[in-house]
Amino acid sequence: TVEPLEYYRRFLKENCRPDGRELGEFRATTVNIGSITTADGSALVKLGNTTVICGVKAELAAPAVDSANKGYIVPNVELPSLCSTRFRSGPPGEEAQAASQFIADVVENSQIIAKEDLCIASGKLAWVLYCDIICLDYDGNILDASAFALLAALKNVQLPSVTINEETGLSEVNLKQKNPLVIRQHPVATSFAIFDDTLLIVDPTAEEEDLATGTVTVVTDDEGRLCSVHKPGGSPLTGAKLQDCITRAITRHKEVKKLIDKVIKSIKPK
Amino acid sequence: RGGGVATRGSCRGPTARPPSCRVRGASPRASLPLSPPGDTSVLAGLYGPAEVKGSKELPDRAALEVLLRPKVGLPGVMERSREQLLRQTCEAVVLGVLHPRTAITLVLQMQQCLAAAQRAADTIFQFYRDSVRRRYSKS
Repeated sequence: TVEPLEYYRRFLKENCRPDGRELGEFRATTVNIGSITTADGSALVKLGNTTVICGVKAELAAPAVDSANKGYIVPNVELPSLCSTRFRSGPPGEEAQAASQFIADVVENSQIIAKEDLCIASGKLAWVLYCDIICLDYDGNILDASAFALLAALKNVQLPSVTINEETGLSEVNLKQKNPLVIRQHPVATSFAIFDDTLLIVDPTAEEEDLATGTVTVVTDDEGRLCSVHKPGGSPLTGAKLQDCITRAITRHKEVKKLIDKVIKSIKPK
Repeated sequence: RGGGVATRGSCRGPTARPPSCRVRGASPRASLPLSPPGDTSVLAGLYGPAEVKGSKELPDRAALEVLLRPKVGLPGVMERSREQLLRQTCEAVVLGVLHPRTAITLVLQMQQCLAAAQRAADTIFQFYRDSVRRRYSKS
């Protein structure tokens, strides 16, 4: 399009978007659980064209000295050059690092997993969960897709039971007996783009993100409580508008929860 | 062309700390006296509009760059995340369209961070307590 902003404004005036969605409508969301068999837990999430895959790898390590009864969760978001023309190969750029930090904050603040659950023997042995989130196709709203992929992958994690031999002091891993992780909360992220300082559109595509004057990401938990509100600069927003975002985020949480429950149920019978 | 700005605040309790600020023009990043202990202070230097490197150049507006330097060590993921926040906040208020194809660089040097100082103090006290305990439990 020659004048992309003007083109978008014409659509938004009629309360719709060029791809046929309404302002408060998400793109078709699909989730596939257990896509990587070599990982301890994995999930592939698609939000329209945006595709994100998350693999969780569990390793054993000694817990940190100042928190002897806690394990580790290490999330990492990768935006490789293959997912979009805007990224170049090499060390992670600002957006990838900011996304990693956001996911780490969500994990920390929502208490998705109690880190005490990852501890096997206090001060001696604990699980480290490396959560690698890789974007395969970048078309906006990477934060929602990443958070969803992480949650779905963690739901899929099966950890082998580990016992510590009293006599030798060595750990014994029983690969036959596997237990799922205890997921305490289901944080769901919902992103909005701010158009012309006033209009809010949900689940922006990459093009919409570029044209927008700012973005907001709201993360809510199972009880509809706020777990994170991420607004990295951009145009200012009134309290009432932010309240609208929170209300929309709570309904989105229900949709995502329903979807994830359905997927988990569908793979259980095997 | 260049100027130095430092902000700091002091106040205890849950209320936001009222920031104090000093601005010095002309002499870039003038050194400032140390603030009282326990305060957070940041030294800022702003450069621009200046020439921009090829890949960062924007045809319609100035490219804003924020560099956040921690007090010790190299900037990490946390600093990058803060840089993004600060850059996007500044982009909303800076009239970048007046200086297309240039660069505006904001360098922020943390001088003293309350949280970091607290953590360091906690660690050193923990170490001290541990060593004292070890010493007395032996004899």
